[in-house]
Amino acid sequence: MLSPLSNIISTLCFIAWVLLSVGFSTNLHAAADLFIEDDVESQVIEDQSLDLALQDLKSQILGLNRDLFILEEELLFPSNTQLAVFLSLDIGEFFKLDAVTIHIDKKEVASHLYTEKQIDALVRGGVQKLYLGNIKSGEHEMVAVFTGRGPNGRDYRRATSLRFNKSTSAKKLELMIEDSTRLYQPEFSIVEWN
Amino acid sequence: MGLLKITMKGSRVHFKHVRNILACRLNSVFLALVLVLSASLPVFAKTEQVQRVQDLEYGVVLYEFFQQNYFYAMTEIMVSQQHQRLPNHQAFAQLLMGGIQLSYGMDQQAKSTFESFLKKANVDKNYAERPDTDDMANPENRSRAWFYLGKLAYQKNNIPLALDALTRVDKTLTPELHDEFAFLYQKIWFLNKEQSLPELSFSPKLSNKSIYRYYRDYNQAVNAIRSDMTAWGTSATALKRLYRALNQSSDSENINELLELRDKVLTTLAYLYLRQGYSEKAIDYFKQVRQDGSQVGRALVGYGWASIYPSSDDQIDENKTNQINYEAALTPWLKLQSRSMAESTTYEALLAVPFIYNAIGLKQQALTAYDYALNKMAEERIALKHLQSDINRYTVDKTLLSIVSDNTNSQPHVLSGGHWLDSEAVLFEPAEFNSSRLQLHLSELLASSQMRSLFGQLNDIYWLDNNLQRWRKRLDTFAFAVNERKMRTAEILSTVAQDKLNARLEQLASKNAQLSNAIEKAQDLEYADLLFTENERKSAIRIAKASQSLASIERSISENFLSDDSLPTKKSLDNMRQQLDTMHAMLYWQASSHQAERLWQKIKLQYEVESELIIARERLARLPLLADELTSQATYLQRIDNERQRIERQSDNLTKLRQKVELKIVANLTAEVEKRESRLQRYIGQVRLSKAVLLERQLSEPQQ
Repeated sequence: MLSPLSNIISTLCFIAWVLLSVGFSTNLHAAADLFIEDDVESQVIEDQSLDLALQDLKSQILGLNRDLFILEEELLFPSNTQLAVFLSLDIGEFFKLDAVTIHIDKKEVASHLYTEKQIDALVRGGVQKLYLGNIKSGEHEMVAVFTGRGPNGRDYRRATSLRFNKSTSAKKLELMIEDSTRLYQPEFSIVEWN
Repeated sequence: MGLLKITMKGSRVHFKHVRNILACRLNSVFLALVLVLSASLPVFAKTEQVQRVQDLEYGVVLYEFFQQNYFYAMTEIMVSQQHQRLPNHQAFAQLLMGGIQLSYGMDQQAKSTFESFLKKANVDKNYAERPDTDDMANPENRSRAWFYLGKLAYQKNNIPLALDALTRVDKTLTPELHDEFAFLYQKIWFLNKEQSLPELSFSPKLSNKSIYRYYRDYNQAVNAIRSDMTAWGTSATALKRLYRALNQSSDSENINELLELRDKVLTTLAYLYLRQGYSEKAIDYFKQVRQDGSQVGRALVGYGWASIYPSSDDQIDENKTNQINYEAALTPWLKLQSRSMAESTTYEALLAVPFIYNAIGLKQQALTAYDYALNKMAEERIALKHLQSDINRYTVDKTLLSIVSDNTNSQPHVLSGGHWLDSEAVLFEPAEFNSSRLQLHLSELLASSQMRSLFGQLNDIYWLDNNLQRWRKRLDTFAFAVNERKMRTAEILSTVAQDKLNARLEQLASKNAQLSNAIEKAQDLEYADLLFTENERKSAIRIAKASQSLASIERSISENFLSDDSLPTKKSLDNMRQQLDTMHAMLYWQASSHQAERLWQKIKLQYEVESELIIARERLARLPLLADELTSQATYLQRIDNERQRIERQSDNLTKLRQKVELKIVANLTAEVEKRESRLQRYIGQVRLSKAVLLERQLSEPQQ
């Protein structure tokens, strides 16, 4: 019969070996599946069909969403009357955008208050689809009013306008806010896209 | 002996727990990786000069993407691709799509997206060095796609495919991905140690600040111990170096992750020393493990064993039995036995404490400790029974929320948390169970990657169902709008309406003809009154009325031969007549002086009226063509109906899938509870047996 001490020692060695053998670390960034135990592995296999079914369903619902968005656009905003207004932002050093309001032919059609997250998305290169609506063919005028914080953190309010002609094809306008390093001021403009 | 075996199993379970905690955050890290992908796209290089998007819709995709609205970002890409609105950003859009699909749990689709990208890239034979272009054949884009494909294959355990893809990555890979690439390749190297790996065309290096560096160092050290235990000293030195590096790290963003890894390094190091017999060194490291970390149970177990042997430098000698200090293990193990029964190491302590009392001759304390253990286990048994009863409350016609939340009235759709589809609007998360028995007893299971994945799927199902519900409402609005339009078109197309419109047009045309005649007549000076202004017309009327009154007065006087001083004389009447004639002449003279100008204005106005009439005639002539509009409205209604049917089909599929996922979750929970009950029974048996043996020994020992 082994003495209690030798018993403990051999067990300790075994503990240490087990701990070390399973202690191989894997980063969060790469699935912790290096040393999957058998029971977990079999569970994973069982769940695969469920996972694939959900993947397939997600894909189908994405396709459905695409078709529904297209239907919505064709139905509510046909290209012969469609006007889309986008907004993009430069680095934003001289101007921190709070809100924007759009008037078309002296009528307010859209306004938006920005969250930090939205501003961040704009600063990183995103473009916001600010307004999608319908107008008749012919001459129109758009006025955009920007409010926010200007240089030195002061309240800042500026407007810019554009007269444009709406033809039978969809019209896209981009409101651009840029930093003018020459003037140390923000610059606001409206650009027509073809 | 039994006690020791249990200790080992406990440690193993603890490791599993830690690994699962790590895996829990896998999903969010995927998203971060996609962000890395996007952050390296040229369009975002906004440090010096902004490189604007060339297709507005691509900018919209990015806007949604940066707000973590991945579902909308993907939909926007798909809609824009359908309309061919991304001619200048095809490659980036496709890479972004693949990246989001990967993070969104759509591995199959991601694989297909990356493969399709690479196929297109290989077809483009006209490639020249265009590093700044968004081009399928751009080597940087290709490398990125190969890297993601390799990673995907690795995640799916397809190592040969992963290797094939990774070896195609070359030096053009964006530097942001070098760390991850190096880490991934090294892990595959660990897994394939016996086989030689293909050479890489470049040597990616981990940056000094990379968090992967710590994991790499840890894995290398552990791997070395596993291969050659005799060189344990080198590994211990490496682990100590890693420990110091972790202590000095200023990476506050990943502080929790680094602390967790540090605990793991300390525990491994301590066990390494313990195995070599350096108990005091082992204790030093065990003591530094955080008490609120996941390694504390393992550390306390090891601390107890190390405390039994006070040896510091010498190897343990079996003959030095007098060095054994059982009592020293009591402090850590008493602490351990008071911890939650959800941790398996607590069971170890409940058995070990009375064992120690017995070993140091405190028989009565040993018996009390066994009773304490039995009581604690009995309480745990009741808790497990309650838990099982909670789980049994689930039926497929209820949502799973009814069993996982204390508040059965709360709505599943107001739960917070986050998963693949949406960063904010997500519905279901095990973290919601904080106050419930489930969270208390099965936190380890709930944190396992498999359960997280199931809950993630459930989240997505709820999210998708919400999405379909929103579309249902919108489709109702569309149908209403189309029906309204249809009705208006039908009204316009009716014969009565067309006749009325024709009659109105003819009336207007007739008035216009009259106007035309009047203008022609007005060209003659004789008809200058036709061009009078309103004031002139009033003046003319007043003059005419005054003339008539004057004539009437003259007539009365002459017919009645009246002669009275109070009546105006003939001379004064003549004067009045003369004045009126002068005013009349003045009025016509004034009008004639403006005739040319006024005539021109009238002619211009008439020309505009004629133009409008022509347009109106044309529109009226086109009215029968509105029948086509009716057809198109009918087509829209048909499309709306079709989409509605698709929504219903998908909604049914979602319901079925939800039930399957929920049943799976419930089955896992039940299995876990059963496993715990069985473990509990085993421990109860051992405690009872040990207590019986002790009592038997007490009885057999001669009375003092």
